[in-house]
Amino acid sequence: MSSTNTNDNPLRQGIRLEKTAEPCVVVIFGASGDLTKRKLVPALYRLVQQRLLPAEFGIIGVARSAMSDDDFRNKMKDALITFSEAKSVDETVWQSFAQGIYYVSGDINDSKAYQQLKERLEQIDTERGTAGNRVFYLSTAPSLYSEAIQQLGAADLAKPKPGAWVRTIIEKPFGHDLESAKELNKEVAKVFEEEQVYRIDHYLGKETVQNLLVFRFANGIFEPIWNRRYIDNVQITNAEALGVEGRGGYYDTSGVMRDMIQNHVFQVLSLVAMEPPINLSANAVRDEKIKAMYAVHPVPIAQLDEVAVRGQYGEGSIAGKEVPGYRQESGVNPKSNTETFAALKLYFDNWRWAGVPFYIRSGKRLPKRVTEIAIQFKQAPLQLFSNIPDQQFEPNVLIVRIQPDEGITLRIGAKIPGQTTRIRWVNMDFRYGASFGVSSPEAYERLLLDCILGDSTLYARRDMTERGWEIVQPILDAWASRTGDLPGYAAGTWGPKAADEMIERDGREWRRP
Amino acid sequence: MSATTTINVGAIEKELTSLWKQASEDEAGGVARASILNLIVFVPDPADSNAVDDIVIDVTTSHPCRVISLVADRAAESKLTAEVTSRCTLPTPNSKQVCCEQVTITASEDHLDEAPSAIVPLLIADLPVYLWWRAEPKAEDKEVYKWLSAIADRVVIDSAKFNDPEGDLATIARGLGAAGRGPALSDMNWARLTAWRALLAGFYDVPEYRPLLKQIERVTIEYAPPTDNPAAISTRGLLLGGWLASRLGWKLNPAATTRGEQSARFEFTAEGRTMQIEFQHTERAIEPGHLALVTITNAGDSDTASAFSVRRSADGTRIETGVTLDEEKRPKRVLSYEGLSESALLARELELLGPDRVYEEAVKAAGEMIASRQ
Repeated sequence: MSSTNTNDNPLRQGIRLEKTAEPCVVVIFGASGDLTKRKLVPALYRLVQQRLLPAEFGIIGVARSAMSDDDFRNKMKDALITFSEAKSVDETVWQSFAQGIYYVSGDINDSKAYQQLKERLEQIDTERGTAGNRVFYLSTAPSLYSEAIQQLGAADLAKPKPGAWVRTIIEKPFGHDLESAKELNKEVAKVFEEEQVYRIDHYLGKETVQNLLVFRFANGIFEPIWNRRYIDNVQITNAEALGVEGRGGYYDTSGVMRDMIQNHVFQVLSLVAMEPPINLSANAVRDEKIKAMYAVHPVPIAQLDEVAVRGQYGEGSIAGKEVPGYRQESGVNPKSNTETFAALKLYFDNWRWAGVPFYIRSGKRLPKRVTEIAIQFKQAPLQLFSNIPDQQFEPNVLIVRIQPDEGITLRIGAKIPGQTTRIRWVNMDFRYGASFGVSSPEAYERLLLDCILGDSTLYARRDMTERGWEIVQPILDAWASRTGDLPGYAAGTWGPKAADEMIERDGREWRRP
Repeated sequence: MSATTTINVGAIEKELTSLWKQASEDEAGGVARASILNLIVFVPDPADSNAVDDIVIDVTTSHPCRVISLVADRAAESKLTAEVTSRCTLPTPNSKQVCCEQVTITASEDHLDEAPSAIVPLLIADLPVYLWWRAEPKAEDKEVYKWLSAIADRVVIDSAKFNDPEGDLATIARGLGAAGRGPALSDMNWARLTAWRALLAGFYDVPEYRPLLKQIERVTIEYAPPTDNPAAISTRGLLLGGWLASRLGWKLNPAATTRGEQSARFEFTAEGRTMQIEFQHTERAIEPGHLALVTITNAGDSDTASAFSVRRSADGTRIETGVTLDEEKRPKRVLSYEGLSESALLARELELLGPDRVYEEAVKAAGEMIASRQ
């Protein structure tokens, strides 16, 4: 860690001044791509305007095309104007920011480019006081990660100078299956220490992770009932109304298990299932998350269809519009068997959760966009009100909504005002967004700032990436070896019938979000 | 006919309940009543009511609350009335309406002192109470202030609005000294200084410059004088000066204070060294009360000096930081700067619960400086 501790600057004391990040240079590989101009540079610009980044800050874009610093700066300015809400930027303010932007051209596998990069970095350290701290952001095609990392190691850029730090951010997807994920981790480990590696899983905004942790562990009343004695089942739904939106070529090689379930959904699952951490440091939290995931009962391949369902959307309508089926999307093989929907039933082999089924489903072209965790509690042991005609009894459900409309709902039974003791089941809602009307900061702002501050809570650790693959790999292998078409569902419905059958066989049903 | 002089508090609650019933009948999906705090507003003049209502509407979208507004209608005779309103907003298109309630109590001079007793029963149980005192500290309102601040968890004021900046700031400072365990005090003017403080603190985050914290020789604060009181130093300037002095442990030497028409100089000692804070009128055309430029000069070893400056552009849209080392200037940094509206400032204060010790000490230090001028 660096030698400066801004915490002992007496002028920083108080509840209103935020911690400023340390001086550093962010090097973006693949800087000619979309991500750089749409998300990365605008996020860094906004962080600077919010005074969260110091004056001693620089950005170096690295890509193949030949360009001068000024050319790159102008491109970034145009992008900022196009993609910002205001559609304009103050000239003097921009100039001041642009002074810290540089460009190095070169091929990812050309060691000369890395030497040039090294010289540039030294130059910026001297001119702008960036103190030797570096973030290497890999925004290239995933197939180039390995090469870039090796080259960084060979050019001696991965080892921090005394008193400085070096970190690398690796974009998703992290590997394509268990083998490739392990391989990539090995390559990375040859060059970087684990504490230097930040693997992105930006689906979970910091708000969500912290909301769940606060909800579970800052309140005394939920932990005692957060286990098999009181909970009947847990359902995690991650639904999108969107289709593949022109990225059919990429998605066809991936599918929902690789794209969403083994990383994002498992992150959510681990937050729900974990034991309380000993403190809120990134590693303490991640330790508990991985411990829970190690307890996931291996998926019984012999009875695969009882616990895992896949599907692919056909044509249908969403929000009043007709949409084509998956196989008709551009870039998709018309005979493709890639799954756009999957549902799983998982168990945890530990004292807290033994016997409690976790039903997970994720898919595209479902009726609406929603991500939620529904915890269904066991019903009251004795039904005192059963002599009331036509009375329905429902279990209490605690729903944590991750998006849209972050919030919490508790479903309880209340007496209908009047002479009888009839019960109606009502929702008590608390919406973070509505109550606090504050828009959450953009995901990339949060992510970049966290990496510069050295907070890896939002990032995936090596063991978690491999464990996610370990759980789903047997399922993917089994499905890949099948011939014939996978089940279909009309766009705008909640998935194939087989998904309903899976949960109804257990005497339960999917919650309608 | 004389107006009603007693408020039937029971009647107010009933009125609120029927408003809720009405709202839920109109709205198919039912309404959600959300409250996260109680907000009491003291409005010194009925003419301000509309402005206050607008700000309250803005603030309740992000901080749903029950608002009780006490309007002092000094021109009226024998008046004590209450009005009840509910305001609903739709946070997102698919959600239910979120409704908040506002009770407005208007009191004439002779009934002002009793009005707080009508407010106390209306506060929602358990939720924190914020008192937004949208007026200056005046002797005639002392009773009302005493009563309301006793039930408040936090009092929000705006020292930028003080007509007698120095006198009023000194009163606050004295009040803080005496209060002990009173409500936490919040000043919107202090919130306006956050950007300045962050940038000034930021200079000393750099390892190379950190030692210079103990070598500060002079702080020059340029400000635009308040319109009503051109001889006074702007409260924002005083708070910033008080902040530096209190954070860095500087002790004021009251005898050395000097005063001109457009400037003032205060001398401090710390760890055997002396340093000064100078206040000066700015020549640039900037809104009254605002800061134009703050420069910190540090002595260096072997006669080298360095200076850090933070400067606001005339139109208030940019803020520049500059570093000069041994007469060599480092590149300036220009950041965009946005003044915060009163609603935004109030919303921020409503997020804070505990006392702001840094602010309180800054005010006390400012109070000492003011007292030494007499």
